[in-house]
Amino acid sequence: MDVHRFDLDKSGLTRVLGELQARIMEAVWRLEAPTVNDICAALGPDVHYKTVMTVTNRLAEKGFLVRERTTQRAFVYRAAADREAFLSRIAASVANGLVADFGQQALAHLVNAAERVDPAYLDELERLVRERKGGGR
Amino acid sequence: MTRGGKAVHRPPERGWVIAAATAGAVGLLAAVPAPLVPLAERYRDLCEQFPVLALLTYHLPPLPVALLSILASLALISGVAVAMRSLVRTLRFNRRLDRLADPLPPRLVRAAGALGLEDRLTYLDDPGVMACCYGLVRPRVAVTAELLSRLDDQELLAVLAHERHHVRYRDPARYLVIQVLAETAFMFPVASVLRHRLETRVELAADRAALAVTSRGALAGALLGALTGPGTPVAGVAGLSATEARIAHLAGNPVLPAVPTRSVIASIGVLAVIALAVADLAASPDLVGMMCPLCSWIS
Repeated sequence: MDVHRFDLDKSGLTRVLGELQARIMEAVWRLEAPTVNDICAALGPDVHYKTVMTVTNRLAEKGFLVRERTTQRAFVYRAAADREAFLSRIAASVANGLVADFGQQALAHLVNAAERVDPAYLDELERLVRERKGGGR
Repeated sequence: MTRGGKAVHRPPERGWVIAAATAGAVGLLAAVPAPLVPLAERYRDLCEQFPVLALLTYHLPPLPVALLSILASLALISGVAVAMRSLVRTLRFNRRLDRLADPLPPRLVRAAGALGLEDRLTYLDDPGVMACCYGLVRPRVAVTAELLSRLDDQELLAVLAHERHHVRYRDPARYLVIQVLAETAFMFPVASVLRHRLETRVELAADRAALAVTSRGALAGALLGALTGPGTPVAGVAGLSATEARIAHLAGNPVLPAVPTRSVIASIGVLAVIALAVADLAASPDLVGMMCPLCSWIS
């Protein structure tokens, strides 16, 4: 489940999902393992069954939902992550997501997250920090 | 601290493909110059209209001038395209960052006040780990809440002093220029290596500025705080990164990303193919038949 887009003008789920996608995710979290029919009923009369089915399947393809076949030859959908975990993931990514969202732009990072660092260098940093904390400045 | 003395930055595969394609296309045009003729004729006509043009191009016959014009145009188009794309992205990014800004916490204001940075700060109440200098004309420093919570006062001072150096030298604009120049020279694999090396030098200069106001250990702590968050960089295989070079400097083992011999040889190769093609086209019977008007007047 990877978050690829961020709309900072919006809030909550709609930062990374479309309006209908966000409503469907909320319905799935609330109903736990609904069918498309259940989701439609929860969303109200303003949405069409086929639209909901298409968008729900797209969410499953993106890894936000998991699709399971039931004995009644219908599919039920479960969220791949619980609501809190999903929201914290979005929140954690806003600053970094902003950088990723705009690709390569002219700014000077303290540390470029796209860069690779050998663990040996991290050990070296830890040694320097230990030295400082051990001996003071 | 190099990895067995083999710390090199390798240009991406795309660079090698472009270099090979450029050399191949130039060689092909030297062998079969027919596609250059329309442009060469246009150049000849221009020379007749403006004789000074022939002087400015050292009386080079029209065919090699056509070849060089095509290569220069490609370089220019690449540079301008990258400049425009990067500029638009940067301006949008900067606007969004400004829009996300939250009120500055007192601790950040105090630390920035000691460095005269208080009016150039953007604070993001965000759980991501980030500090950066942004803004092309009047750069600012952005710091997130999560990074702030990970740093003690000395480490925060190190971060702000590092970023203050970027602000003073307008490094975001400098990075834009470096990026555009590297893209303009896209035919030469060594360009991306030199860009990486130059950017590493800029970061090292900012680190030296930070070390002037705080300790090595504090800067190391700041880097460690920034490196051990979500999206932590992972073990590298593609040569010495700028961060690795900075850590090596902090550890007292100064090293810069090396310029790999093969990218230098490949770049010299592309240059040699272009020079040979120009010489060959200049020496071959002139398909366009131009005589410089000034020269014919003198003779």
